[in-house]
Amino acid sequence: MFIINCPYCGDRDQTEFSCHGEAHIPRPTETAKMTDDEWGEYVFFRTNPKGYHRERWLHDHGCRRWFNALRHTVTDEFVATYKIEDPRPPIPGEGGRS
Amino acid sequence: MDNPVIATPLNAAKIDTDGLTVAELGHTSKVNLRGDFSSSTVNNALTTLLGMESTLAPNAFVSNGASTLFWLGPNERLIYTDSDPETIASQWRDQVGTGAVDVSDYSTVLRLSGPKVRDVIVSGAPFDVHPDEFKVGQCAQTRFGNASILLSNHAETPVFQMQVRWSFAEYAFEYIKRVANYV
Ligand SMILES: [Zn+2]
Repeated sequence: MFIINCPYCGDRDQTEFSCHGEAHIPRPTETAKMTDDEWGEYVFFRTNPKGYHRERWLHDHGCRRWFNALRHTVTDEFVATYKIEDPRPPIPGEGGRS
Repeated sequence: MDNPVIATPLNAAKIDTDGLTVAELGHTSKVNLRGDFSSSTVNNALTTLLGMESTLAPNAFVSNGASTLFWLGPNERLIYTDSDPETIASQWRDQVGTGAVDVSDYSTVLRLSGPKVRDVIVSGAPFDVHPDEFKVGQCAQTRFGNASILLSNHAETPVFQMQVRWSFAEYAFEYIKRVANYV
């Protein structure tokens, strides 16, 4: 049981939220020109890191807004949550790499 | 013209036990409003349509007697109103140009009062309703059991309101009734 900070509502219990996978995957623009391999890459392939991960979250039982989180996939540590339009907070210990 | 009595999912059911009183409110007109609540257009519309101002902190509500305005999200508010919801919704769409939907029959409202209220709420909600954290005038969308609810604090005594979806009303009511026996 842990607490997640919704950028709109503040600290709330994790059971109000759901996670929807990796964030910052832009939808391709020239979709008519894409090969099956490129579509497969876009739809199915994810970085799946053991470590810090940027992911999309939804505050289902709360304000029903989408936001992003930077979370460690092993320790479950939430480094930061941020609005879709916000700049990406840096990954800890990597000299500000985002 | 007298308004006809409009059905609610629990038919005005009540719970009256030691330390807890629960009653379903009568049918309440509700309108969901979308828009940029920092804009003067929205502020003007709220003033002319409801006599209210758009300044509202997150997770707060304000009432002027005839209408109550709840914060639901940065660009979303909910009103309970004595006015005709369809008229408000269409005038909002005309004046502001963003969405307004009559959601009167989307949910019902339970009024909970008595010293056991907080214990009953925390038995199903993962939300801190301690008086230092959840004060009069605050509201929160959260969870009660498996039902999404809009919880609001109306008086120190305390008096809470729980808005719950029509199809979850019986579930939430039954949950409260059973919990009331052992909190
Ligand atoms: Zn939220």
